[in-house]
Amino acid sequence: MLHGKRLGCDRFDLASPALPGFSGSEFSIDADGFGGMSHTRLKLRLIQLGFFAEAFVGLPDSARL
Amino acid sequence: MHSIIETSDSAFPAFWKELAENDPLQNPLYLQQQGAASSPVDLATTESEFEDRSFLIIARDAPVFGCSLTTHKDDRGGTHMGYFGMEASTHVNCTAIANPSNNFEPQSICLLQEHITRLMEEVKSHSVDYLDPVSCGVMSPITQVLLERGATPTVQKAQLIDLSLSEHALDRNISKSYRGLIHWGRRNLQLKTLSASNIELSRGESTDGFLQSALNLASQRFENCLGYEALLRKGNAFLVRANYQGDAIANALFVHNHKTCHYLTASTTADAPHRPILHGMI
Repeated sequence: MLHGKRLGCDRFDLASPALPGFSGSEFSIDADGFGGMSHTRLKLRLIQLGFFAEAFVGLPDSARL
Repeated sequence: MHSIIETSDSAFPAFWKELAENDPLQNPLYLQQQGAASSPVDLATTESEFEDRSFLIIARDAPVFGCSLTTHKDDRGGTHMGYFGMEASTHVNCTAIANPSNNFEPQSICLLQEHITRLMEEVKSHSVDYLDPVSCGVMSPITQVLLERGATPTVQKAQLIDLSLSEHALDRNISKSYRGLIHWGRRNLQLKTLSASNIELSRGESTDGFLQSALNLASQRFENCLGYEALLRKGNAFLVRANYQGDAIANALFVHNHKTCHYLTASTTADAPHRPILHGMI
């Protein structure tokens, strides 16, 4: 399973009052040649296969992929 | 006391406005309240396909997190989560970040994670597209939920430029090589800005097709249902056009909310010189 550590960020403990944050260099904010600050953001895509399977329930076999 | 407020709640607009004013990244494409009279975002004809499930996490009568979120069905009846064709995204009240002891508490994080999990299970979404702005260097709690469910992350780079600095300070912070590219643009390009104040005049001129192609390009590139022309006409976007030796050769589209400006996209014509055009335009 992918998790925060692989991405260079800290997983945070929900029971802790401390703010979650990043420690990996991948997410550090550095000065950049263009005169601004380099900022990293994440795009995530989740495909929920379980729901795909559910959608085909009731369809004839010929209609399935 | 922590609670969730959804768009159907009468208190939603006021809290959303408060959050929008305190979100450090302030992406105009996300922080507008859809359907509001003052909203600069007009949706394309497919608006009705989307159900707005945006919500806020409230703690001690102040918004802590906001989530821009819609659901829609594809041609096969599958449900997808995103935001009007873009990725869903969260917003953070930077006041809460700056004063974590006030109301940025684990309960808020828990509530946010529980609610998004509940929504995913309720709508049985086939896919979830989500943009984590990593606001203030803090990973969104929703990212945590999605990663644990096996979401695929892609890292994107963005640039933040503090425009409150003087032009001299901005110039000094730019590396010498970039500065040279910008100066080339200043010397050789004639820049014109199209915004709400002069867009009407531009309609009907020979440049009209150029403007339209720029807006179409933005819609195609981002594959969303936001009306960029409407953003332009309502004063929340502007287009910078570059002329080189008398011919329009490039344009760049920006959206803004009078506080924060986002560069969206740019295009050049086939006749454009092989020079660093965009540096000077930005």
